[in-house]
Amino acid sequence: MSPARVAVLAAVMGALTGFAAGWLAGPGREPVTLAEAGAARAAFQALPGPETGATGASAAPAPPAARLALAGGGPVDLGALLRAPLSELRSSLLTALRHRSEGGWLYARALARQCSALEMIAMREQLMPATFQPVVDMNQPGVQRAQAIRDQLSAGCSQLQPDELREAMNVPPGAVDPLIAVMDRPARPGSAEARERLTAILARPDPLMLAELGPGLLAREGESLVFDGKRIDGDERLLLEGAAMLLPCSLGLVCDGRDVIVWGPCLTDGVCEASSREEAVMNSLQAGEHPERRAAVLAWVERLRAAVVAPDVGRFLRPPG
Amino acid sequence: MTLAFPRLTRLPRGLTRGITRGLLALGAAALATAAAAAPWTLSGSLGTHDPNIYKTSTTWWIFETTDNNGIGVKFSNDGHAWTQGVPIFGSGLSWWQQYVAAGKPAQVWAPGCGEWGSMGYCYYAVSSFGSQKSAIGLTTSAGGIAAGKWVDQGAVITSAPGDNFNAIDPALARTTGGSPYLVYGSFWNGIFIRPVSSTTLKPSGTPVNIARDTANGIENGFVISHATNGTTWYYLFASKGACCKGANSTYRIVVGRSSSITGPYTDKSGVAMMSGGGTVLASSGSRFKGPGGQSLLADGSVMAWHAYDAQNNGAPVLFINNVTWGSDGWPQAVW
Repeated sequence: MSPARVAVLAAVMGALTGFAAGWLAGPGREPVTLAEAGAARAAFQALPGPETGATGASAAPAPPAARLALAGGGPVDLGALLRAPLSELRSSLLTALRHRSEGGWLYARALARQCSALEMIAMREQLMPATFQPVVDMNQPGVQRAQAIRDQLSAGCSQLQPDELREAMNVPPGAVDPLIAVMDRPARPGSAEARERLTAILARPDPLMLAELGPGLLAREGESLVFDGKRIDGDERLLLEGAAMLLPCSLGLVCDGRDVIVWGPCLTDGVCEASSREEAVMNSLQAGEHPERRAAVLAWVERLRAAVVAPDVGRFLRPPG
Repeated sequence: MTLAFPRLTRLPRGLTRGITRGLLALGAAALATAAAAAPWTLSGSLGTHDPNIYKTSTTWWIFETTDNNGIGVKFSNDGHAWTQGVPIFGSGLSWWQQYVAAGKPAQVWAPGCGEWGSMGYCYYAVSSFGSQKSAIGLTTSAGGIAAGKWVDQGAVITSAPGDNFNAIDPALARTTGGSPYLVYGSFWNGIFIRPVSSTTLKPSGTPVNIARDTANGIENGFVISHATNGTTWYYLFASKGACCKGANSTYRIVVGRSSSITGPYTDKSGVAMMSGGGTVLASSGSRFKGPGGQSLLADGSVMAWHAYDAQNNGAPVLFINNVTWGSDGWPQAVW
């Protein structure tokens, strides 16, 4: 693959990552059908109690991180807050904020970011002349799905007070949320602190946290990523980055057509072909035209998932020297 | 901006903070001398570093560097009398901790703020002195700057040791067609420009290196378009030399232009800005040293910058002046 091609793909991946970082956690999503995700689900099915989505939709088995005990003894299912009806977004967000000491702030922020994303879309429509707006065919299923999401989100977000939005999104230093605390822990690459941080991440591999980390879960060495003691460069790096974006789906984060990575580009740029995060990522990697690339990405997903589930910190660390 | 590696020491930044606070406490009277030397007569809160000027319908704004958390804000009704506002995220944000030394307050550098449609935005950098471990953050405010509803959008560009750039000194630019770009970079190969999404204001394309100066360093890029005699050019304003050394600073403001927002930019003598070019618009005077950290109104009519007062312990002070454009399409010196 030419350097130019690599650069273009990198840009696409960056754009998708941008959507992911800002607008994670779509509503009531079903699990992405990653071919290699079965083992992950089996691993989590051994844990107590299935996760109960508020919509009653078939949900991914809850990873241990998303199922916590309340101080009062009742369970709080953070993952379910992401699957609750969008019309109840405010209730979900406030519930998450009440449980910030258990990781709820991360979830509240993800919910709030959807509302912020809507504001940005409205801003763009106001700003851009009609000639710059994407041309969309309302007969496309992807367009209809995205518009439905937008309508539902608008209804849910309109109930949110500005102060509530800010409280959810602006996380100050020293936040009590353990997931955010571990993500934001300072750690010089290759240092003992970096190992401790990674150990803490893998001790509670929350799917939403892994989604926010994305390829940032992997150690870097110059322009390379490192996994299993090897430097991953060039096109292979792009495939690995794509796999890192799909990793949380294999661990329980639902990533279907309601994923912002799917509907976001549809609403903003008229890119509505994908119906799941997997398709969106694969399309960005030209995997539709090249089945071997798709297989390579899925193989990376499985390797990452295995290392996370084990957990095997050493596979993520840079080799000594 | 900024706290440049490797030529600078940490000392001037601490000095800067203390002096800036002192100036704020002393108020307008203590600044009368500085204001008199400024191209515009200014008053009020004039201690600043890396001032980013922006004008909404009724208010002038300055967004500025702080080294004690938050994005500094000043405002004015007329662009002359300035009031210090409440910093944005004055208590800091959790994720900033990744980019500063443990236990230290975040240094928030060289914000680039304005309004995009109805949305207020601020890009800013979080880093530590002489470090390439940096991040450009984004915050937005629905309803505009004055609404003050700033919400954290997280880091949009980060850099780490080994990268070919440093993620600091952000500024939004736009093409004449309305497409947004982010200008950023400092040492480690100078200034870059990269398209950003018109919806999320987050990067959506690959970066292009548009200015480099291996001898002096170049940073704080700021791009606007301007038409003269029917010809539109993109102008890249930047700061060269050493900032942050008080009266010993050697910062100077330079400019180059291009027919494309992504370059190549050349100076008035035809020297490429990727090869150290840059026509000087402002350099050290007898009292005020190291002008830099510049920004302009989008129409190119007004420039703001800081310079260090050699008669006041090198305190960085705000300057504002009109920009005069020559018939050759080049901006004239601003002081």
